[in-house]
Amino acid sequence: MDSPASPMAEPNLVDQDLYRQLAKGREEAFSDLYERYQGPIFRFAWHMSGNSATAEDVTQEVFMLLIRNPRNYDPAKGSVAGYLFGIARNLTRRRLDRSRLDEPLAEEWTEGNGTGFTSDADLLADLARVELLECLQKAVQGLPEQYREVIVLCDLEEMSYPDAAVVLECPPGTIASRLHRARLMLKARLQCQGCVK
Amino acid sequence: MNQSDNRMSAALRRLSAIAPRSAPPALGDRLKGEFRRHHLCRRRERKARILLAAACLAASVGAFLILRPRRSVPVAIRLPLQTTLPLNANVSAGPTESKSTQLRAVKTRASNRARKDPASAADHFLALPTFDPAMPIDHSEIVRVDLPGRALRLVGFPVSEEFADRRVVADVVLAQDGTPYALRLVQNSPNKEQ
Repeated sequence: MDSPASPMAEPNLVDQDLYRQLAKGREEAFSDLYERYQGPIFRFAWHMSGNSATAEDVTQEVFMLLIRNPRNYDPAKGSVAGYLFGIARNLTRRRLDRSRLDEPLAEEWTEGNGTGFTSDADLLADLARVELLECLQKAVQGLPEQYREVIVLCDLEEMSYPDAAVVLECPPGTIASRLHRARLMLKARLQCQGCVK
Repeated sequence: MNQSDNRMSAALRRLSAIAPRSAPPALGDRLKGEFRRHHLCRRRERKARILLAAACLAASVGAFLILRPRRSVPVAIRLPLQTTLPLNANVSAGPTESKSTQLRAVKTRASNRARKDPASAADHFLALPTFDPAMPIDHSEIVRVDLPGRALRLVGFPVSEEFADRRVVADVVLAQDGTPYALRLVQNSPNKEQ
């Protein structure tokens, strides 16, 4: 599968320039960087937690860290976006651990567990219906964390595999394989929940 | 990518589309306010640190100037260029000198050189204990004298015992009132009793 276009690679130089100015205390630079990334980070936390309050808290903490410790970012280690998403990911994990919202669903998913994926093309056609999106969201949030992260970053936020690999601190190949497994798991969960015929 | 994956991707895109597009606007305002406050505090702290460092530096310099050791040994002084150099003048060496000591100015080539180059002549004079830096020395005179080494002791010039009986030729800076302020040895004349 082709990786989606990277939203992070091209603007990285702009981001780094903004970041340098932010570290010097220029409020315009902070505003620009905030406007660029508050949405993606908020959505990432929202998809991961399924909770607006948690997403808001995570977004706030990410940017507070940026304000208080701007020197923590090392351009040699990756993009500004990767750095920000990395913080958001860690904060979200911590919050989910605390609130135990990331408990996997009771039933264990195993690949090819006899749920009949042969007819999944017809099965997924039902997802076109708006009312089933809620079902899909629940299925996403029910995924184990490492699979939920790749679905959120690569499918929902359309991040490239290399960028997602930076955020999740693993090789791009791992991202591709995790994404494949995550989609299979999603289909199985949707079927198990009775969201699709 | 098969049809199933396409449909899954489309469904996920739709899910992404219904997600909130951004954080609440109030959050942005809060964070910008926090940014302003944080950097205002940092600027104040930086200014305070600079002021503190400047105060420490000033205190260190002050302490050094107050506590530094001062030299009390004879020091070389530089005379003003207008200093006159009278020739063949008989003068007394000052109030601290004994009356029996007659000073005789002698005319030498060195004095001529000194006249031509008063700046170099002013070099190498040693201040005597009677020299007061606070007193102006604009109208001083340089007198060349030929006298026993013992006489130099009387004006506070350190002379070893072996030179006490020898005659020496020296240039003496005299104040307007005749007080010797500084002295420069020109030569020793052990065999020339004049």
